[in-house]
Amino acid sequence: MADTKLIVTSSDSNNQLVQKTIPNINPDTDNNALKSFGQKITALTDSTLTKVERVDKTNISAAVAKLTPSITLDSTVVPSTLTRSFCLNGTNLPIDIETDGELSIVNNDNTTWCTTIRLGADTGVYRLYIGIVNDQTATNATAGHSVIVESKETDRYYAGRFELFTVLEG
Amino acid sequence: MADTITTKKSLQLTLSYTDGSTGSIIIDNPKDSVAAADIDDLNDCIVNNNILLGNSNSTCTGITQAESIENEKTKIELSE
Repeated sequence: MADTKLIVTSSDSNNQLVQKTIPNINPDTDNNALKSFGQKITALTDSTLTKVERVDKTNISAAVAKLTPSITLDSTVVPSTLTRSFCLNGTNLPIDIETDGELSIVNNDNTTWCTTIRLGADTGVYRLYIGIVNDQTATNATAGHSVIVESKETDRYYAGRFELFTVLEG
Repeated sequence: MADTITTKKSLQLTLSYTDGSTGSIIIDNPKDSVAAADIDDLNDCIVNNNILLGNSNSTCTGITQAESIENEKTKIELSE
């Protein structure tokens, strides 16, 4: 089961961004309900809601995560649900996108857009963003399409953590 | 007279779970006019949508307590 948390970002009366992270979110909760939850949390303050994100994290053990030269992100149409299961056979990382949008992949430093995850280390954190405001270098993906993420490393054992960020509002 | 200032306000919501455990959500800088209806609304959202999980994936049964907490700082004048 994915480890899911909600990040609620708001702007206070001084226009300072305030972030509230709420752990132990039920990963099966409907995204609209999570969005509403974030709105109601913010309604208890004088701040203005700016963003609600859910983060699904899963750990991949080295023993099962031998990656071949490429991994494939398979997206299929699954209305109103977001499947967070990850195939751990090292060759497929299936992600079901609940709505059309942009599937963007950023580097480990969370700053550089790219369409390739380069496995430069045995451990690391790679983030997959769905719903980020369009960037010219982001990969557009619509439900039902697949995005191929190429690995430049071959025959490596990889252990790491994948985090799926879904922007619910903002 | 010593000056006392409020340095931080927060709202602590206590949650109960089906396994008997409790947890909390702390909201910093709540608005002054938080009403019981606001808490009830949040409670309904949590419970009806089964949003929060506890230990061993126990289910949250609701908000059982809401407390406004204020931290105060008082300067104590020292004798010379």
